[in-house]
Formats: sequence, C-alpha cells, structure tokens
Amino acid sequence: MQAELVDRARRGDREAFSVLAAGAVDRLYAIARLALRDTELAEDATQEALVRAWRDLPTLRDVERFDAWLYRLIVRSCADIGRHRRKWRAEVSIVRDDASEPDGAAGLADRDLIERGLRRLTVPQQTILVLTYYLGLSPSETADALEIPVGTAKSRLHYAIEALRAALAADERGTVGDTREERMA
Amino acid sequence: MNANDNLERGIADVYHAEAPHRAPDWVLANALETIESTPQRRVLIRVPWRFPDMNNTFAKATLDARSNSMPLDTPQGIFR
Repeated sequence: MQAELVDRARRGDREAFSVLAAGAVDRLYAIARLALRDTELAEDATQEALVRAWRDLPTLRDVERFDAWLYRLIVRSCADIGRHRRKWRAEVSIVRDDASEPDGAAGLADRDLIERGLRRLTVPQQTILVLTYYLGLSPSETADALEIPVGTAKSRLHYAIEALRAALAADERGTVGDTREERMA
Repeated sequence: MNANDNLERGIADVYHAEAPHRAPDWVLANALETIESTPQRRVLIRVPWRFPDMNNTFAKATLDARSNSMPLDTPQGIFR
C-alpha cells in the first residue's frame, strides 16, 4: 500500500504524496522536537523535510526504503537548523570526573535531571540519542539515517552519552555555567 | 543493572514522556501548500554506450548502428 503510494508520488502524484505526508508528519515532528528541543524550530524542520521529500522523491530508488529515507531528511533538516542555532549555544565539553559522577538509580532515574542534561547537548548529539532511544533504531539503521559509517555512529553515540553524563555530573555540582542563550535572555 | 543501563532507560523514558503525539495541523498544511508550487527533481537516466555483458554480435550491431548514423551527425565537408 505504502510502496504503491510512494511510487505514485515519485512520478509526480501530489495526492499520493499528501497521504504519505499526513502519515509521516507526526513522527517527523516528534523527532525534530526532541532533537532540537524547540517547538518553532521543530515546525520549520518538519516542513522543510516534507518539502525536500517531495522535491527529491524521484531520486529514491527503493520505494520500500521510504521511511528510512524520511529519517535522513528530517536529520538533515535538524542539522541545518542546528548549525544556525549553534552560535547561540555553548557546547558541553566532555570532561569526565568519575568521583563526582551521579551515582546509580537515584541520580539517573531523575527525569528532570536527564531532561536538563539533554538540553545542554549539541543537535548532532541529541539526534543520535533520539534515533537510538526514541525510535529504537539499530546502529546500522542509525548510521543510515545519519549517512555515516556504522563505526562512526557507534562512536558518536558513545560520546553523546558521555557528554550527557558529564552534563549530569556538572548539573549535580551546580558548576555548569549558563548557556550563552540563557545569558542573552 | 548498571548505571549505564539506568541512564539509557532514563533517556528513553524522557523522550517518550516528552515526544509530542501530534504536529500542529498548519505544519502539514503549509508544507503541502509549498509543494503545490515546487517541482520535483528530475532524474537523469544515463544510458551506457556499451553494456558490460554485451556479446560480440550485439556489440558489432551497435558499432554498425553508430557508424551508420555518423554521417547524419557529421557536418558536411569534414571528411572530404
């Protein structure tokens, strides 16, 4: 069913594409919202991904890979928007301090703490975490969405978790400086 | 279960709690409106001048066809 719609849309059928877009928009928006952690930017990224999907659909060779291809497009849109936003955000440096790392379930189970930690990550770090822990993609699927080798995806995931861990540790110590965005407010 | 498992489960919990269930309607509406005036990218089909598994008969026929068509493409007088 979907493959047939994709094939029709690929050949210029706007009605078929609107059905596909309606079925994908909520998922794409959720990914963008979690990766960018900003409602307005997520709306922009979702629209951009859908327009790109329409424009580039004739280049999709395998109609069965439409969903995976859409993930690539939303990741690209988030990355583009994230690049513009980066100048307003300070990045969390990965400085491990095992002695002061929050210990076990008490610290890590705290949703607010994790949520605050996630806000301090860069868009590429957020994106790989969303693909892995929200969508549940495998390392090879994640690598495909990010258009990078599997080894690089695994390494990027490792560093994203390390960065989050560092952010949590710093947050617990209360020594992380405000982001530039917060300082500008 | 170690701290890493807890952290990974914590991340998944946060995402599933935070993820919006629906996109605002106007996001799809705006995208579809933009698409109305957006042409699709055209895919150029490249036809190889020679297929890798071309057999001798087919290759000869192709070369014959090319040589027969040459005078039509060639400006008059070049080979005079």
